[in-house]
Amino acid sequence: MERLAMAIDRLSSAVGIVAAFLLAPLIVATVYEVVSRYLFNAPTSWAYEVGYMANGTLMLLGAAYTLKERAHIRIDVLYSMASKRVRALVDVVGYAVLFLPFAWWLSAGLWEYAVHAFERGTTSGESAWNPVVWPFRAMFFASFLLLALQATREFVAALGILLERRSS
Amino acid sequence: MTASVAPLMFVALFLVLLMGFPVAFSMAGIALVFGFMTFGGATIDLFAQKVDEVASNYILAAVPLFIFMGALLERSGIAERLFEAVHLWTRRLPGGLAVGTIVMCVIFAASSGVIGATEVVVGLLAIPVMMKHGYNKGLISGTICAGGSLGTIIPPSVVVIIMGPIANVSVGDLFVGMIVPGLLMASLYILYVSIRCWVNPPQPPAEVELGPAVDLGERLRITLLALVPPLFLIFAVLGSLILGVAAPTEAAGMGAVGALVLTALNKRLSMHVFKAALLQTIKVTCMIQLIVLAGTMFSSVFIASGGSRLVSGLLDLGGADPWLILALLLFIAFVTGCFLEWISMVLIFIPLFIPIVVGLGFDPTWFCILFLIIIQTSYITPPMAPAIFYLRGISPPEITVWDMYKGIVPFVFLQFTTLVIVMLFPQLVLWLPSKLLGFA
Repeated sequence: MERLAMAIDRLSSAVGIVAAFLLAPLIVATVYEVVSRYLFNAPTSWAYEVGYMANGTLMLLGAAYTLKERAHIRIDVLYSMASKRVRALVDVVGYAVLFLPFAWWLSAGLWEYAVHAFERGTTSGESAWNPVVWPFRAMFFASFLLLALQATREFVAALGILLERRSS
Repeated sequence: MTASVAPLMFVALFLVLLMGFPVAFSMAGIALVFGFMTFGGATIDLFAQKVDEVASNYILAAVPLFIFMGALLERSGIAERLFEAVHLWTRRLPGGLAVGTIVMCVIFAASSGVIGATEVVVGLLAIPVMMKHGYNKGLISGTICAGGSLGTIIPPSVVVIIMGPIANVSVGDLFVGMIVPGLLMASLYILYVSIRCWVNPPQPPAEVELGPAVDLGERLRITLLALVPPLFLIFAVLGSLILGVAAPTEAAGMGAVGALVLTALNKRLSMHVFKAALLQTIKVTCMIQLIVLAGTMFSSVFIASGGSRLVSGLLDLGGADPWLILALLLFIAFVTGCFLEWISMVLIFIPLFIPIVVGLGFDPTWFCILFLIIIQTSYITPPMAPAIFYLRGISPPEITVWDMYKGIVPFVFLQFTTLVIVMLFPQLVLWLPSKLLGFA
């Protein structure tokens, strides 16, 4: 169990760090577009799509890492004053009732969303480049699956705190 | 969902948020619960489309770029030199250090889009010096917190990148429109600290040397050297926006490259610095954009279930004065702002308020600026005050939380003064964009 939790943490971190480096293509695409448009009078066909895809990918793929690093902001006016056990209770209830159903169900929904696009060969229709959208949508699915895994891992950890205190 | 259930969404959201469950997860979960009650299983299809919509938003791509720019500048070392240069000019004025701190905040806010970065960088430099010179601890706290909050209203601002698309207002118009109100607010701060220090000069514990007098030529040389890098960045970002060379996202890309160049020129760019800035960027970016995504889902469920009709119906009640309704909206935002951080405020209120404001015949760009000022008050008013949170991280233990609470009060008044002035004179917002961007 402990090893599984560690494995999830490591996976989230690895994916998050890779996602962070997607900032490089984002910078290159935006700046190249400006230079190419104004200096060479030749706007690119791809910079716009590369730009939003890089951001969309880094923001979704990094979500699980951000959770692992406890960087998803909380309104902690009361939370910071609460005992460790009360905090665990908030997390257990919040994950069980609100977020885990959301994350797992949306992962399933995004899987269908991607499969649908793959079967039809849907293209983005946003630019002359007009790439197929299924890889981008498959990334949505992978991101939410990883976020759901990491959230489940946090849920189990909080549950552990809650139960451990009760038995002692 | 009947109209009587829609307000419950908000009640539920506020309860869950106050308990301290992560903001993005709270919004998403509650959107799912209420969405399921209205649309059943189709909710997930709607949400999948929202994921696509947010992940494909080109303007949002400016968020990681601006955050990266701030994360690098924090580590670039240009702040130290700038602080010395500004101090050369302001030290003979009453409250010169506090004045210099505010000037620093303006320059730093204009060359970075991140909230918090300005406050931490300037605070780390200015607090020890002001303490040494016997400044009132409340004044120090207020100056740092309020100065740090300028990052919201001095362009470029990440808040505006999020707010523009939601309010259906051009990010470029907002960036240009906030210049005058932002500078007005900074001027009010400077006026206030000068008068306060002139009436009641700081008492240094011992004789503190101001340093040798520096002749004008030398002063100009130091200033030029320290000011050129940030001015270069400000030009790269704001200039390319205002001149219409670049869209906001592209301007942010230029800023990111500019920050890389400056950090390299200052010999601070290493793999370690680069990676630290990247990791900070992804954490802040994901945190912000996941709330944007969850908030988009939340408001789509709320609007689809007739929630906005309910709100505008409530506000039309008895045909109240439009200005009264406007004041009421801002008041609601202010009060809840004491408990919420800015992303939740924007995501919850802007989709709700903008149709009302437009319906009342007000200009949405102008309203967004008013809302930005309210966000600034929320940034420094407890109990949920990120400014005080950051300040506690960087200030010496002699400054207590009470010093901080007392210190921010006059600055909240100054922010409200700015709000009232901008309300009375909408031209302050609308004039500059009409000149620079050429819209009526």
